[in-house]
Amino acid sequence: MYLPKKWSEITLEQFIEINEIDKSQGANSYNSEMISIVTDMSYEEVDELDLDDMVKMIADMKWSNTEPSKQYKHNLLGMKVKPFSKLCLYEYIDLDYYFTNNYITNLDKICAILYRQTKVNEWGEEIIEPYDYDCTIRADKFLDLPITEVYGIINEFLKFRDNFLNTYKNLFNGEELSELSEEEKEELTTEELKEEEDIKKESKWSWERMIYGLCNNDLTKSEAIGALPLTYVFNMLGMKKELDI
Amino acid sequence: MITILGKEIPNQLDELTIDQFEVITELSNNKELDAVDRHLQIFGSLGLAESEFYDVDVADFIEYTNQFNTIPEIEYPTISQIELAGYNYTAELKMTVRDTKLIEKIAISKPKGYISDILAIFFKRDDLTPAEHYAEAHLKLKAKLIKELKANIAIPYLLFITNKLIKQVDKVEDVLAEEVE
Repeated sequence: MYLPKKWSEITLEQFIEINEIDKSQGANSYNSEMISIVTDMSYEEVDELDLDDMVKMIADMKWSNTEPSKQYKHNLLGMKVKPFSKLCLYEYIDLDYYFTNNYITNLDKICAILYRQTKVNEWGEEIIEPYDYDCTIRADKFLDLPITEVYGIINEFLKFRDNFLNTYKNLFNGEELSELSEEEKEELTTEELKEEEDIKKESKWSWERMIYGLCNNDLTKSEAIGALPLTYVFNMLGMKKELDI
Repeated sequence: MITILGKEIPNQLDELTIDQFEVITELSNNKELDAVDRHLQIFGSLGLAESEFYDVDVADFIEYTNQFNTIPEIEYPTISQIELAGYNYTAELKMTVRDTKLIEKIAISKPKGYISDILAIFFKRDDLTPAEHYAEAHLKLKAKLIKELKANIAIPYLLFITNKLIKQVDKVEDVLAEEVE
């Protein structure tokens, strides 16, 4: 049984599995699952270990208490990271969804969107493949890569997203909605509760509403709108809002 | 045993059953009870109703509680074999990862009455396979039977777990300290 010595020996798939461990079951439960994931021992085999042996293994894996390196490779599997400034609307919407839900467990899909095949056209310019492939099939290709080759892309995209949201903040609703607790709900009047529900509904469908608006209610145009560069779409939205047209 | 109001009340670990010990532990840890209420409830759980103390002088009551709480420091030997309902059970002062996970689960989900559950993990019926030993229904039934045993059986096992956990925490702290350096 081999015990990894650093993050670079952990694959993206293992990293996602570690992140999915239910932490509410206690430290020993977490540690045993982690050992099973990183050593490929079965859960049953780990369960039969003496506690002292597991404690020693966890101590030997002290590197796992740190974060993986924030570096990432720009070229992987014959693909390149698409410059964030060139992202199209649909790419950004999908990335936003994966980042909002859980950017660790979705990291394979995030990579599938950001790492792209390229070719040189007859004018000698690099062309990036269009966003019309199956993202989940592409995502599988990244699962066996060392986590250290892709982890840094999270931070890089978050920085871009912060900057983007800040630039177009007048086009987004200011505050992020969080789920109200039962106690908080009890304190609200029926009208306030309805208002809260309406805001939630609006927030849930905000991207769809935006696309619907941009298509002038003609959904046959939605594919074309989604393929437009993100910054172009938001500049147009900004202009529409400012000129009130 | 001590005598309170003419009744024999168990107060030593080899006199109390695990069931009684669990109730006393729970009441002792209940921070919402003051000292008088706590002892009234403890005595109540051992067969002395609260009403029997209505005419007792406060000084006498304090004396009773002092007597009850006077427990000599005894090193209880590890009992590794017991017989329950006609079956032999053997325990070792050893914890596998699975044992630890189960104990951890009990500690998280069961705030009271967990001592018998923990002992049920340690004591394994001689004629059963590991799979049968860890079956939920089997552990539950065994814990119920163990409740009737004397509490002194539990002490070495509880101390063993405590020492293991302390060691584990020390090891984690060592690792964290090394990282800071």
